[in-house]
Amino acid sequence: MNNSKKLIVSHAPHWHNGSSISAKNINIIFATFPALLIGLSYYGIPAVGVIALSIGCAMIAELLMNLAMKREISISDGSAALSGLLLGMLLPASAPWWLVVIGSFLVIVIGKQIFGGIGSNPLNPTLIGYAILMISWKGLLDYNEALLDYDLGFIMSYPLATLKHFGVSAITKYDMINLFMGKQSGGIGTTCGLGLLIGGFYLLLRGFIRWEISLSFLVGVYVSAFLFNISNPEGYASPLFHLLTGNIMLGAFFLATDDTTSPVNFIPMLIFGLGCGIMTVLIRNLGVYYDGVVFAILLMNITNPLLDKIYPKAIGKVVENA
Amino acid sequence: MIKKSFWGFKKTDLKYDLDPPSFRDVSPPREATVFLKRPNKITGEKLFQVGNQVKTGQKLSSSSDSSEYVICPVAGKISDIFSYSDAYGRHYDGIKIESGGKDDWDDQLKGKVTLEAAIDFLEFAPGKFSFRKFKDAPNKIDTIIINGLDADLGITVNQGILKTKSSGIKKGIDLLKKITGVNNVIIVVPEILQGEVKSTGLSVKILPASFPNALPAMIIKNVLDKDLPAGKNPEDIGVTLISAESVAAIAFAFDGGKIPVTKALSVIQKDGTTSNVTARIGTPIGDILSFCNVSVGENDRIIMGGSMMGTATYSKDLPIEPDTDAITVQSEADSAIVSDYPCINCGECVRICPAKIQVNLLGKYAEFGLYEDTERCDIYSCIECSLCAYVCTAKRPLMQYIKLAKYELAIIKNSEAVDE
Repeated sequence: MNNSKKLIVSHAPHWHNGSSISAKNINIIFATFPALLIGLSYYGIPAVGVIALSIGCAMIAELLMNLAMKREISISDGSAALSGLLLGMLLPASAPWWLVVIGSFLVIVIGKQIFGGIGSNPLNPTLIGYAILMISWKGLLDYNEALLDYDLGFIMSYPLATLKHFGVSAITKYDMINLFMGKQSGGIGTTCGLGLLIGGFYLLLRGFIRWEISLSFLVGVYVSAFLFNISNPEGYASPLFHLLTGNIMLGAFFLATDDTTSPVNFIPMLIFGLGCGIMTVLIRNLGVYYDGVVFAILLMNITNPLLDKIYPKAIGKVVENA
Repeated sequence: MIKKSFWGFKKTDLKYDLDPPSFRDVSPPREATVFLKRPNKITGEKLFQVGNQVKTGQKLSSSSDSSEYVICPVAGKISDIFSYSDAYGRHYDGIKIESGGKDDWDDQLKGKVTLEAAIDFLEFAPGKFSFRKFKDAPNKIDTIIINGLDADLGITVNQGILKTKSSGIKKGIDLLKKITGVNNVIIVVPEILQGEVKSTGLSVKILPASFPNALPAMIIKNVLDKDLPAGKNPEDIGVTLISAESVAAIAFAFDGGKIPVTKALSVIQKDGTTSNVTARIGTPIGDILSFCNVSVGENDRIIMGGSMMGTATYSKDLPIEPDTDAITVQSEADSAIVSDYPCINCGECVRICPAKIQVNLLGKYAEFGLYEDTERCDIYSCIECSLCAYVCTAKRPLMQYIKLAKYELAIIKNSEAVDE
């Protein structure tokens, strides 16, 4: 034992596949760029301000909570930045600065840190923050009111509000291709279905999110909206209209797939996604809110631990019959 | 270190090395060290002390009524006896034998071909196969599976032996059948070695050549289409696994009347290249590394075994043991660093687990000391392949948590048994 070279000892395994939380979050942030850049190009500097402020405030909130709770500084893992970014993408470009600041703090403090930080939050932090803002400052988050001053060369009334107030006949003025390409009003990063789809596919192929959740979410929306639609075509919009409007694309690829708040087993993932999709359409078609994505995902987040009770039998497990 | 592929939706596939290099002999060491398990209570007279002359292949045990023994790998004199604890806290007497330079073989085994002789003399043979289980197992062992693959990545010992010692394997199988009376012998090999083992006349089963298919529970699942019940040994269901190396050692022992003292092992270097060597049991790691021209730098790791399941060791002076199948040297940059980050529930571990355990919950219970709750998460189904920790996004030491929980559970069970 007298050789000078020191060796490192540790428990097996001595290899790791190189994945990390920060790489994962940076990739998810990267995947939001197609949709985000289109949103920023429509709304200009105010939108850049909202996004920058939400990311910055979320990271500051995380840092302050780390210091207050005497824990390791965790802003470098990117999860606070990602939560802040997603909140910014949901907000309209005209959101006042104080709303963004309050929202970001709610996301980090109420959504994540009071439960014990990353990995411990039962509900998607971004959605907690957004839901509180949505209930508290209804007018500021109503896209029709918020985006009154903008004229971007396409129909500026929020499609889901039009649907709710004027019925199916009023939405014929929306062209599906335009909706898909992002030519609709809404949150900064939620409108461009194409951009979100590109980002989502990137994440699926890289293995950062699970296809089971995203696909079953979209299937859930499509099937339930289709059933509503064929039962009463005058009363309920077509499934494609539902898929292309509101927060569904962002929800399917970026919000419902959040690791901590979604199940890990195959069947639970499918149930979780389907549940999110069906609840979204139920809230849209029968509820008072224009868009149900936020509440649908929050609701399914609560069921997550229960859903994960459905798991395969471990090898060699002896099942005791009652 | 094998990294995750860029397209992460593909399932992780860690392939076994299927190209064994030929064995080169390391000359017997000047000083060999063997570890004799220390009995709980020392009874009777101590049977050896510093200064005693020993022969090659001589049996040493701490007392006349102890069944634990070691075999001297070289002839010479005992130069030191010291106490040693391994990575899991088991206590041993380390016995250093200064080689006299020439082998003087002990011939106690000569002429005996029985199970008793195997139990008496071959427990410390390369591969460390225990023959006692044919007597002690609660159920009669009726199936022997010969493993032609090594459990961990990069190791090609058994494959190399199948290729180079096919006659020894054949003899060993016959002897094994004869001494145990078990006729149902199956040999499992990767597809590429199918031709080499045809001549044995055994039923040959093909194993998929990817980790962790060469682990006992996976072999039993693949070959016998049976699930190994949680927490049980293969012997409990009447099956035992023996490595090809141990089979060759049986042939060497009973054929030549000498107790085998030479271990075959793979030396896996920092860049992943493998060389196969044969060396006396008890040879210091440093001797073997310098024979293979492997340099070890500051903060490197020396691992007894492979990268997935091996045990990192702290000194080049420690010897190779009868069950050391490989020495892996890894640079700091290639080695996994664990963190105490909380579980983020990404589910990678659950989806990769070959035993279908809910590792995310298990890890959390073990982390916070709720050991009894880990039983509900099927901790006894774990085959200890370490894949969960290999893929963990948060770099949690999951395998260590599982071993810790198993250890603590054993203590809890023991104290309950004492209370009753």
